[in-house]
Amino acid sequence: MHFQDLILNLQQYWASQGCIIQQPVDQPTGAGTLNPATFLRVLGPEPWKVAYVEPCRRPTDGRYAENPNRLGAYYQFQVILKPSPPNVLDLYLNSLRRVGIDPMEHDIRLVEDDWEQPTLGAWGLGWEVWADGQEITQFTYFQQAGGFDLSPVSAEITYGLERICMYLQGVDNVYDLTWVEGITYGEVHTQSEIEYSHYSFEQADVDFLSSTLDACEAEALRLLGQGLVLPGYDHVLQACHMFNVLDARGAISVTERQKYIGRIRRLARTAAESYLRKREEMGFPLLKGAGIEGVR
Amino acid sequence: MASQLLLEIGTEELPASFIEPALAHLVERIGGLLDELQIAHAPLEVGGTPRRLALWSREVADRQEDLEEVRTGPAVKAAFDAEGRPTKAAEGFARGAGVSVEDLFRVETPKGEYLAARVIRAGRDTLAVLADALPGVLGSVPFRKSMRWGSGTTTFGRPVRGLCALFGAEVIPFDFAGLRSGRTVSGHRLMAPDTFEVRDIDSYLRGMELGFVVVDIEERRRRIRGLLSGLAAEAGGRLVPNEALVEEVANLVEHPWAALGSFDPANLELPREVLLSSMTKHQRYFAFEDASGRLMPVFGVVYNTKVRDAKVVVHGNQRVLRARLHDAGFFYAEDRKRTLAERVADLSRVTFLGELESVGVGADLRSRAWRVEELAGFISRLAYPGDEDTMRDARRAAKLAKTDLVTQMVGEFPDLQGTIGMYYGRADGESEEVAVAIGEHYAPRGAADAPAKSPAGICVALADKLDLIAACFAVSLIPTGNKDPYGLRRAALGVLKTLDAAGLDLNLRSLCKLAVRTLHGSTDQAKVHTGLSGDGATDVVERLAEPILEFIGGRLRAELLERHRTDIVDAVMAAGYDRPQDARRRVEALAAIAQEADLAPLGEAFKRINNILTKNAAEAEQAGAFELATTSQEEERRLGELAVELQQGMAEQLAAGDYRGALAYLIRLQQPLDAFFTAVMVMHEDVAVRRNRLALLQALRESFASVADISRVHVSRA
Repeated sequence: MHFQDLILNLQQYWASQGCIIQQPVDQPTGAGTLNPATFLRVLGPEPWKVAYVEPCRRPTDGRYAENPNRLGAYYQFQVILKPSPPNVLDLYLNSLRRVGIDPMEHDIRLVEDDWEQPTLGAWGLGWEVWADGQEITQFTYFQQAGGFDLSPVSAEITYGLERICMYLQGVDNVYDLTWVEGITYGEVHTQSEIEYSHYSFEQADVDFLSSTLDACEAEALRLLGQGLVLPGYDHVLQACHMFNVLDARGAISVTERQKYIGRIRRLARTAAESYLRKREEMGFPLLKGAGIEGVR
Repeated sequence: MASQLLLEIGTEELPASFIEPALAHLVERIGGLLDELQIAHAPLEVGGTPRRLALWSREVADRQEDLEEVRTGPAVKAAFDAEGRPTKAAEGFARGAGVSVEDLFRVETPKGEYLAARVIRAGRDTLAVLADALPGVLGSVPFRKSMRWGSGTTTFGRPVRGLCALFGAEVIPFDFAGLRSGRTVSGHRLMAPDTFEVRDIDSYLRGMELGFVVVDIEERRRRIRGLLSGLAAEAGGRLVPNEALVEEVANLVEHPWAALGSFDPANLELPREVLLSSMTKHQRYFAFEDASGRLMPVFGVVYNTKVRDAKVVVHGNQRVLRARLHDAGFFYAEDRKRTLAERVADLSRVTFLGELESVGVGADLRSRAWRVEELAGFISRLAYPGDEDTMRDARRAAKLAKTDLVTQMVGEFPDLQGTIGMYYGRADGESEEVAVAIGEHYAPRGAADAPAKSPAGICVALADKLDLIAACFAVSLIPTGNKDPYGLRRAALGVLKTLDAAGLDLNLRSLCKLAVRTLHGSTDQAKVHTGLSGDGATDVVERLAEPILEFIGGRLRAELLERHRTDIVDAVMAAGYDRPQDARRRVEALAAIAQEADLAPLGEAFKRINNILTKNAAEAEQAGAFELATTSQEEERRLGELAVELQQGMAEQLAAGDYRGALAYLIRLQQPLDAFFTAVMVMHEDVAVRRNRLALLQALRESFASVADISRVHVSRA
């Protein structure tokens, strides 16, 4: 199965399960969890079902396209089911069948995994899903985000697309994956991997990044304070990204690190607060008049 | 009449470590409930897999026994009037108890005579009792971490998806986690996902078997052991024993299957621990070795689903292991480009404990390595005086011990720190003693791990732990309650275990002082050496070392309490524990004596001695030495003679380290001491007599002062 077909099949499958297929957030981000379609939508009482591909930037993992398993940017396929339905694991297993991983052919195992992201004030419990010993998915029941207890609880399913595809195609080097017939993953991404590695490790301007981070933080707090939740959250994402690049650049000492994490946690918390307040003012429109009890 | 009880909580995949504690809790709560309500029952049996917690009993009484209770009413005085007729109080009480006044009877209480009634409380049906209790029981199962799911508020280890609860032919009706109990269950998630109805325990167990679920945990373990010996035969070798992994893997599957995979034999050049860690820790594979104990290039994987073709599973797992070993091989080759000695300077880039900067102590690993090196040298001088080789090896090993932390291999396999250093040290051409000491310096790594054995290893292991404790104490990172982020309790216990295993009777107080002195001198080597010969800084060192000594003493006490009575341990520790080995011997001697005789009365007598001496402290101070000639009473003379004999005898025995012999005097002391306190008035009006008697008591106390504070012994033998 080509890389592109993997994405198309997952989209088709989750669309048929009633998910809206939203798109990646148009900001650099480190994980699908940060997309407002997850981070904000899991807050509050409104139901939500969404699936989307998220290009994730992990500047510290860049390897100048020389490592067969590590990338400075990669793709996740993210699904949020809120509230988590009783048959959520069966739905997930069916998605594997859909992309050609037959659980009667492979040993599929749910291996305990506690997920925690202190910078987002978020944690959840669930599993790493293994196929014949290879981790292919993170499955999390979200318990908290932005420091708020979540009710109802969302199920977050995060597929590591390259991993799954390498497994399906039987290749040991991510750059050898076929994106479509005649085009490899390497042909699409080698240049960006090399250039971004040079950028993150050597060229990124520390002063520019630090001052941009400061500016984004101030702007985020200002906008969130005025109830402009989504524009404010854009700036939270940008601040996170600046932090990640500074980190890759080796510009953050151990003691500074804690301070930065504290600042970002505050931003995430403020965004979550503002979002919840705004949705409440709007009468939680996705409840469609059912009232908070309606989702139970 | 009795019926079968069967309960299954169907869940999503529980973590392996959650299953058995949850089952134990269910047995305790449900068994406890039945016992408390006097519902007779056959033993409770359990089974569990990642997807179900099951409990059953083949015979449980259908009804609770009728309970008879005696209820007390009004006092007899208030229950009858002058004519002996029952008052309103008596009638009201009888009515409330559901009996007639004639059925009331009298009971004697400390407050006088009261009226009482015998009340029969009809037993409830077991079905109703269970229906009421089960939601609470299920809600009380403790998990290391609990979660919510969906729109519910219930918490459990993982989502609950089914409840099967039968009592005889009936469903025990209750609600939990938004589910209604019923009689259906399902088998293996993939191989037998359809639900089926359960009639009784046997139909449940048969259904599980047909549904590819081995409910019995021990049975799964047996089967896994069987599968592994099959794989060993297939590989032509033997299993590298790993019972903990068998136990864990058994709780990762509902039904075990197994297959043998292989890897490139070229990987066998990697350290054995790296191979084992890659296989067992990360992937939960089993390893095999040949007759000579060399690892074989194969692994066993236990899996959960009877797949169509095991080769597919093997192939996939081989790919994963290949990638892991490929990485390890890459790290090994990269790491070997530089020796450990060349990495020493790199340690200054790694922070050990940032807070140390605030007290003027080097906070990086290079400073720590320097301190451990100094300290290991001092310790070797105390532990192995004159052994220059050990001193040199210990210092060299300490200098290199932390350098594997800046290798890629330890970055990837953090729990192999020390071990990797040993391999790399050997490869660098360090002496075997140095390599072994590097490998041993973290020992003991856990409760079950052995302490360091080689002389150099012992010195570095002690130095490493003492420096860690001293550093944390210097910046007030002292463990409280269950918070011990730097593992100081484990380090303290490691110090004690290392001394014990090596039979080293070192003075812990001196070691603590050395650690403090080294810590605060770490920026100025000269200061340390001056400090050692004793100068003005000694007071400061003493002050900082004391809490460290007390902290380690706390671990010593905890360790001794595992085997000995509290009063005996406390009595000995009150006499000091500067030399932990010595304190151990004293505890053992006192415990042995306490086996032979009841020391509680002696404890009382010594308490009395303490009281008298405390109360008359001023006078006791002027008492001078005890003179046998000054004694005036028979009981006084007899005790005095014994005291004199004891002083000389004990001195000899203590010098010979014979605590048992020294403490044997205690038994001989008992009777004369009793007689003394019965017949003799210590605080006699005559000053000379009085002072001599105080001197006698002082002498007795002094004799035992270095062994134990006998006044703390208070438990009589059972």
